[in-house]
Amino acid sequence: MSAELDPDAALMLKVRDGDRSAFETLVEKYKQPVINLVARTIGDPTEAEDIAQHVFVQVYKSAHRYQVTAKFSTWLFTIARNLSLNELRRRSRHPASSLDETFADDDEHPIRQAPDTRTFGPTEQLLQGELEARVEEAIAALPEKQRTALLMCRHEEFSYEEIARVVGCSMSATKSLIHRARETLKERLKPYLRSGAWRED
Amino acid sequence: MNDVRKEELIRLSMKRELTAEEEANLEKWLATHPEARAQWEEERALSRAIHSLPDVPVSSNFTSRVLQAVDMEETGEARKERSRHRWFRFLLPRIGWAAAVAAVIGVAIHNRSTERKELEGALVSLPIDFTKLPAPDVLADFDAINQLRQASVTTDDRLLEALQ
Repeated sequence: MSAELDPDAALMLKVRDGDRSAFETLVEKYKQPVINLVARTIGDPTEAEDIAQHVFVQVYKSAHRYQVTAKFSTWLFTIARNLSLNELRRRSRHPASSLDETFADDDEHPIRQAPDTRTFGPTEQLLQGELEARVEEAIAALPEKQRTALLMCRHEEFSYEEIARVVGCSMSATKSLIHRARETLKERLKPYLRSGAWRED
Repeated sequence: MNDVRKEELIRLSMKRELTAEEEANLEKWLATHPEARAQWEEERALSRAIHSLPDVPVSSNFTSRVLQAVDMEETGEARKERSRHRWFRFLLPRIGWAAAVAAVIGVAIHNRSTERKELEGALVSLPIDFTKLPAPDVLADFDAINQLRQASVTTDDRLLEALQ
């Protein structure tokens, strides 16, 4: 892939040459999706910013080694995923920092179960919040690879090939991850998906 | 529209809302495949649910914090680099002297070793027939005879003095 096709790669090449404003542009553009991914991977929005900061510092430090072999966003999300997984491993070695969470690398088993945050209120806002919480909870309960692939899939800029690079699977395996994730979510969110409104099991 | 196109539209709906044209195509297809409508509605609802996930809040100073962290990294790297240079400047003359001393010692050892080898070579090449040498028993009283000879010399010296 050439830098002409990917404007972010072109910016990254400027960063490699010491252009700080190009780096700032990339941080501004990607801070939100990176923090979203990190927060949903580690299940901790407050810690997500610190890890996202490390992600961008890592990007800057690695700039001199940067080669335009893939889209910049693919490279960035790979770093974000790796640092998030490192954090999960660190927490599993030091469980005191996350007593209420258990983690596993096994793709067939959910990494964690989000707490049941159900509350019932009369207003539409409360209902919306409840629906979002249910969707968050269902996504959080997915195995890590399925969750990452699914979350990346919602971005138009990521092809299956690029998602496959980030999660480290073949393209067919990545399609299968996304399919399985969606099937699981459809099952868990069935009442909401069918009616458009929440309905208790 | 065939099944492949339908799958493509489902895939697109995961990423964004369909355009009016895409929607019309899909509706046409669903009109002839009413059994697939429920599945499609479910797929679309799921895509919308995933897209409706709110963004995780980001601090307003996030970018400046990143830039500050980068500055600190660079400062740290520069300090490490200076520290490496300082050690280099400190060690280099000492390493040079040590290398010179080691070289002198090495040359001296080498020379001595060479001389020793040459001497050994010369001794080996001497035309001595060891079979003709007397047996060691001959030298049994060597020390006593040697002392007698020295005593005799002293006496002769005294006699010579008396005569003078």
